[in-house]
Amino acid sequence: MEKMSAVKRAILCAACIALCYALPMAFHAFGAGSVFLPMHIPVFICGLTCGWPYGLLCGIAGPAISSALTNMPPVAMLPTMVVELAVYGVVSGILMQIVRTKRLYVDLYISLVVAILAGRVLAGMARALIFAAGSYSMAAWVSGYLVTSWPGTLIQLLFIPSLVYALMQARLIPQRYPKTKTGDRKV
Amino acid sequence: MSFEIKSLSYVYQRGTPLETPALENVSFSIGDGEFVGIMGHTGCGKSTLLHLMAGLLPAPAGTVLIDGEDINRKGYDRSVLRRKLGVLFQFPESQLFESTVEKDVAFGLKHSGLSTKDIEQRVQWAIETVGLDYSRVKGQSPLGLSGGEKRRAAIAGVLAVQPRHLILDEPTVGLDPMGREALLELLVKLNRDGMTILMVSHDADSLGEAARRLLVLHQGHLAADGPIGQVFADMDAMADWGLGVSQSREAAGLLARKGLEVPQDITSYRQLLPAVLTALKGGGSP
Amino acid sequence: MNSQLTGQYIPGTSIMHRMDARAKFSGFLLLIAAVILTGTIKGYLLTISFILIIAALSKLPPEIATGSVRRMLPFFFVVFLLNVLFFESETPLWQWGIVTISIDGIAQGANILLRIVLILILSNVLTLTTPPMALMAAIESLMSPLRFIGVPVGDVSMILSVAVQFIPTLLRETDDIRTAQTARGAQFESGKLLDRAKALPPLLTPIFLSAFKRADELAVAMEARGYRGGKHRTKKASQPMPVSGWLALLLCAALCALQIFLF
Repeated sequence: MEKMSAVKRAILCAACIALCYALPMAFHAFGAGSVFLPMHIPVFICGLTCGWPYGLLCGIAGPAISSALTNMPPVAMLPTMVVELAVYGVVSGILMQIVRTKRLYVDLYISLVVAILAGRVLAGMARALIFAAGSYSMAAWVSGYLVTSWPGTLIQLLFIPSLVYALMQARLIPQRYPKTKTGDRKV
Repeated sequence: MSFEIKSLSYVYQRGTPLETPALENVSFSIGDGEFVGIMGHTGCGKSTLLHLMAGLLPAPAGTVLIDGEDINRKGYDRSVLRRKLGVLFQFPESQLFESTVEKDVAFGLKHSGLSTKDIEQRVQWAIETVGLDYSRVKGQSPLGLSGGEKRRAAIAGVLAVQPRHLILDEPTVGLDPMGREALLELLVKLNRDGMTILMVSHDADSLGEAARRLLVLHQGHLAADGPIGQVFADMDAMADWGLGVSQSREAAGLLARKGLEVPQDITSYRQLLPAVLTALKGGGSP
Repeated sequence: MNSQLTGQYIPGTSIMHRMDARAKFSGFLLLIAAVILTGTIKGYLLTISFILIIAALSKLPPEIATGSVRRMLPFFFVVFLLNVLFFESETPLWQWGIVTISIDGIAQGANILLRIVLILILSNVLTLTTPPMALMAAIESLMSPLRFIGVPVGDVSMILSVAVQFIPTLLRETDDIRTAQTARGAQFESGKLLDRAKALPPLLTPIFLSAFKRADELAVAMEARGYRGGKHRTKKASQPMPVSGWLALLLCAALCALQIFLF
């Protein structure tokens, strides 16, 4: 997605940061709440579409602004959450740049899955080593990052790639492989 | 009666310093098969009224009856309401999300219990009714359509449910003149086939052409309710409410001032032209 | 159509409303530190009275200043219970498997609960008395030292302020989209977890599409007007912090120091 100008990337990134605040509110309003990890979605989208520096900023500023304005996440949770989301933004952005299989969905899934794993592992490590040193165990990591988050992970795997595809269909971001005709999906 | 609204009131942000009344004691009813327009200056409460009438906001004071049933009653089945009442919001194209037009139009039929075949027929009917080429667009992504086509696809999604009553919020905004004309024609046709239509709009010309009755909301109150020609006739009152009238109505007023005997309850171009011809020919009486 | 959003600015003229936003934000950080440093009953009495005075000075209706606290009560209850039940203590009152109830555990639960509540009240006061743009400007001016480690502070603060300006629009749009899809028969509230997950795309896709569309329009407009990036932006000269701001900071710092050295 080389064709987007720096200004456009910057403003798309701003929109994603704003969504880090607005999406959890919307989810909250109909009771889906935090099980679906709504704040993660804009960060992945930002990394995948705008590149890693913007993904990084979104991963830091998104939860920080939301926390400052609404206390969700609570200040105490903010540092680990920032680590997790920043890794999502950076890793998904870098991989989208490197991985080019000529198939959009393959690129998206590789970037997404690696980013999800990297983010959860690194956030767990950050927690164990820095933020809650000593009182944090492997079991807590497994339950916190793998078990209770499965609905959110499912949503991420199911919808984020097709969301990126929809944005391309709507011509809001450039086609990754422009020769592919719109309409016939290459999976 | 399609809609019976009884002493409906609504206050935003109740109990905070930002408390603002949106509706105060509004009552009216709308019969089956009517085509009613609602006008009002920005912030008059028309959007709140629309949400309350569609059961999208709970009514804290007053009642909303649709086909004689209180939609805020405990145990009232909202999915029944969704099937008989279609709502088309401003810029409805922003609701499109599915991967194909066909799937998007069928979205509202998901919980309808219809067979796959019936759904397909309904979808085809809806897409053709809004003037899109079914075989061309059905497999396309709705997001890749042109602006006007997107609007049509979104309208098809609302029509596919075949609602008995249709509420529209500013449906003509953002359409080119041709698109607007086509939409009004469609609405008039649906109305003729028996659909109750309630259209909230700033566009006096469109209302003048399509609606037969007009409600005016002013600062949360029902300021006027009557045949649209009658409401438009009092241009001073309309101006007081911050509203304009249709160009045809204005032209009729100007012509009258110039001494031509044209009736003052004209609202649309279709009425204006013959009226002017008659006035020119016979000096008033045909 | 949200009736009362959390953290929405409420205009007013109280001392807290008029205080310099930079002072308020730095003071907020200092007070969070003070809350975390507080560890004794006497210390808590001091911290609590300090924060209650601030809340009173903001002249916000109490039910609004504590709004998010009341909304999160169930969450607090769970946090408290977890601490009470699973705190490993040397002197348990009652023990069954891994479940241990002890005075230490109850104290620990109360301690954590009190911290969360106090921090919630503080940040409510901060966000309810400060317009979002002023808050952003304050954060930007506090961030400016980051320039020396190579962070493009100008670009970052442009992005942040655009983001904050997007928030009200996007909240309204997400709400509109939710309403519109409900009117089309989407069912968000009911059903099992999987059903609710399946109900998300009608919401998610349009929200992202409309957010990206707005962003795209804004980017085009900015480029048309010749915007090239933060480095070229003319910056408003920032005003020095007023004496009242320094005084407020001094008070907050004093509270921190007291918590460290006295209690």
